Amino acid sequence: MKKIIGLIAAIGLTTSIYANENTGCGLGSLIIKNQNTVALQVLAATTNGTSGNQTFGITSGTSNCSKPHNYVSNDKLNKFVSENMDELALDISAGKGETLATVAKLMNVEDNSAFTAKLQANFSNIYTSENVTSATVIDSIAKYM
Amino acid sequence: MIQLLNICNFFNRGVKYLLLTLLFSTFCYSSQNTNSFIEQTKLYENSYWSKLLHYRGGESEIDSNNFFISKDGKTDLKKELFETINSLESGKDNVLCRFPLRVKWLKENIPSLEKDIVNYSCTELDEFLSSVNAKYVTMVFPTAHINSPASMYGHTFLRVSSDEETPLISNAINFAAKTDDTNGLIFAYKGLFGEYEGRYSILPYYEKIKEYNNLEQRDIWEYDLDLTQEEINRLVLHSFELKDSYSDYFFFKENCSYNILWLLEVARYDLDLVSQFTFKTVPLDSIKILKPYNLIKSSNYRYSSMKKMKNILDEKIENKEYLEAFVNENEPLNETLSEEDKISYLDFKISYLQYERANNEYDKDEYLKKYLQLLRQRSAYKSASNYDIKIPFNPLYSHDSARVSFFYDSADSFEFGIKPVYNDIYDISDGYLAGAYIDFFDLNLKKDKDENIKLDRFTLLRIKSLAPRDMFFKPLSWGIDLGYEHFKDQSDYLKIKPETGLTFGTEKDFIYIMIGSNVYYKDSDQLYSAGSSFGFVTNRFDNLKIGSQYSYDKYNQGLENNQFEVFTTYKLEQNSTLNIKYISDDLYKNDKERIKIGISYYF
Repeated sequence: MKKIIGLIAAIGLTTSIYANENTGCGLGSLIIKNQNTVALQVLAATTNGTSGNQTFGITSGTSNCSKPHNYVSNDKLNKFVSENMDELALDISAGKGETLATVAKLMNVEDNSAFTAKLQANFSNIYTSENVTSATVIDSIAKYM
Repeated sequence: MIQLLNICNFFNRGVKYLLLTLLFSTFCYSSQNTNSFIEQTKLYENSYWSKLLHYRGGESEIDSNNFFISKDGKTDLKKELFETINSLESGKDNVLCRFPLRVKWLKENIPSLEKDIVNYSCTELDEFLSSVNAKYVTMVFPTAHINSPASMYGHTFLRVSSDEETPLISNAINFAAKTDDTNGLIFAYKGLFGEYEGRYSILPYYEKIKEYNNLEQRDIWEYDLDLTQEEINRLVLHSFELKDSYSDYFFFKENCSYNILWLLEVARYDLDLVSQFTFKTVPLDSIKILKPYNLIKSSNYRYSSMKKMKNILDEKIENKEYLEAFVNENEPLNETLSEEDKISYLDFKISYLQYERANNEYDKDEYLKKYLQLLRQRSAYKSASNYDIKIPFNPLYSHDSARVSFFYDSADSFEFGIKPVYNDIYDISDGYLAGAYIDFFDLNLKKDKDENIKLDRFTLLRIKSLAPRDMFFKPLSWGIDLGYEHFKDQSDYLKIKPETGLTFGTEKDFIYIMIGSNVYYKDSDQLYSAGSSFGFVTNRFDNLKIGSQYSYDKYNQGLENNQFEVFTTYKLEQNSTLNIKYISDDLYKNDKERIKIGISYYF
C-alpha cells in the first residue's frame, strides 16, 4: 500500500477542502469548494468522512445576529434564518421549499399557502438588497403573516 | 457565560459536598457495601458496561484518556468501574456530569449507590439535552458522488429531531476524522493507517444538507429508526459522554459508519452491531445490518441540487433553444417561450448560479447581485416550482458489498474470484451510483485443465468514474487500475492502467470513450501501451445489465492488441447474479474467442 502512495506522490495531488465564507447575518454564506482538478483525486478515496472544522460545540440556538425589531422572535428562528438566508430567498421566490416551510412552522403560520403566495409576490420588499440582514428579513416576513 | 455557569456549578457542588460529608459520616461504610455488592454481582463483567466504554476484544476503541476515570480504563473494566464509583462518591473529576449515562446505569444496577454519591446539578448537560430535545432518530446516508472517489462508498450519520415536520432544524451527530491536511496523499496515508483522531460532532442538519445535497451534489437517503424514547435518551446521553474523546480513525473499518453504530448499540441493550465488522465497514452495510432488528421503519429520499437541475434540463423544459444563451450569455428570456419554460429557465439558472458559486467561479458580490436579480425575476411568476423526481432504487435493497464468483471459461478453465468491496461495471447498479465503480483487493484464481491453480489477477485498487456530460455539466471520466496480473495467459506482471475520457448519456444508458495506457512491469520485462477504448452500458432493464467494450492498444515490442467484450449480468435475487461474457482478444495464443459463464454471490 505504501508503494502506491509513493507512486501517487509523484503526481502530487491535493484534494478539495471547504472554505466557509460565512459572514453571519446576511446573504452569501454559501459554502465554497476550494477545488483542484478532480481527475486525480484517487487517493483522496480515504478521506471519506473527514472534515476539518467540526466540533461538538452545540450552539444552544442563539445567534450572534441582531434580533428583529418588531416581530417577537425566538432564538431558533433567528438562528435558522440567519444561517439560511440564500436558501430562504430561493424558496420565497419559487413559492415553495423546505426552508420556507420550516420558517412558516417556526412562526406558527396557519395558512401556509396564502402566506407563501404573499411572500412570493413581495419578494423584492423582503430581500431589498444584497446587504439585507436576517433580522430585517424576519421583520418583513412577519408583515405577511 | 459558560465560564460563569461553571463557577456557579462549582460553588453549588462545593456546598453540596460539604453538606453531604457532614450529614453522612457513614460514607465509607456504605461505600464498602457498594463494593461488596459489585464484587458479588460482578457488575464489571456486564456486557452493557463494556459497551458503554466501547470495548471490543478486551480493550476500548476509544483512544483518549479523558474517556476513562481510571488510568487503566482502556483495558481494565473492573478498575474502571470501581474508580468510577469512587469518584462519584467523592465528587471528583465531575464524573456525574461528564458521563451521565454511565451514572444512570450504575444507579439502576447498584441500589445503594444513589445515596452514596455526591449530587449536584449539571448545567451544561441540561442545556444540551433541552437543546437537542430528541424524540426521533434517523440514520442518514449521503450516497456517492460520481466524480469523487472520496465519496464512492457514501457516508452515514445520525439525525436526532424533536419535530418530524421540521427536519432541517434537527441535529446531526457525525463521526469524522479531524484533519486540516489538504494534500490527498497525506490524507490517504493517515486515513488508512489510523493517524487521524476520529471525533464525534453535532451540528444542525441543514448544514449537512448544504454540504451533501448542495455542495457535493450527493443524494441523501434517510432511514427513520424505530427506537423508544428511553433508547433515544440513552443515545443522546451517550453522545454527550463522547464529546471530548477521540478514537483513531481507520478508513476501512473504524470509520464514520462503524462509530455511529456504537451509539445505537448503547441505545438498545440487545443490539449487536459493531462485532459484525472485522476488516471493513462499508456505510451501506452498516445500515443493512439494522434490518434484522426491524429498526428501520421508513425510508425517505432527498435529491441533490444536481438531480434537480438535471430534472429541469431533461424533463421539464420543452424548448431548450434559448437556454444556453440565457444561462451563459445573460440573454433576456425569449418572449416566445411558454410561461412554464420561462419559469424552468429561471429555476435552472438560479440553481446553476449557486453551483458555480460553490465551485468558486464568482466572487461573493458578483454572485449576490446576479442571484437576487434572478430571484426577483422568478418571484414575478405566481406559480410554485414543483419537481417530480423519480425516487431511485432504495440502496437498502442493493447487493451487499463483498462478492465471490465462479466462472467456467470456454477455453476449458475455471475461475474463482473474491473481492471485499464494492461495485464494478459488471455488477447490477441498483442502489449504487451508475457509472461509479470502485473495487479494492479483488483476487482472481484460475485453474486450467491439467494445470495447478494459479493467481490470475490481484487488483489492489480499481476505480472508474464514468460521469455523463451534457449541455452544462462537463465532467471528465477517468479510471485507474493497480494490481498484479497474469498477462494474456503468458506471464505475471505488476499492472498500472490510468485512463481518462468522456461519457455521454444518462444514468440509465451511457456510452464512453477513453484513452489510456497500460504499464506491465516485471524485473526482466516491461510492456507499455497507448490506446483507447469505447463502450456502452445500459441499466434500463429491470434486473438485467448489458454492456460492451472495444479497445485497441499499441505496445512496445511491436505488440498490438484488439479486445472486444460483451457482457450481461442477470439479477437472480438481491445477492446473486448470473453472468455471461463474450471475449475476443487477439493476444491470446489459443482460444482467441471465449465465452465465460458464471455466478456471483454477494455477502
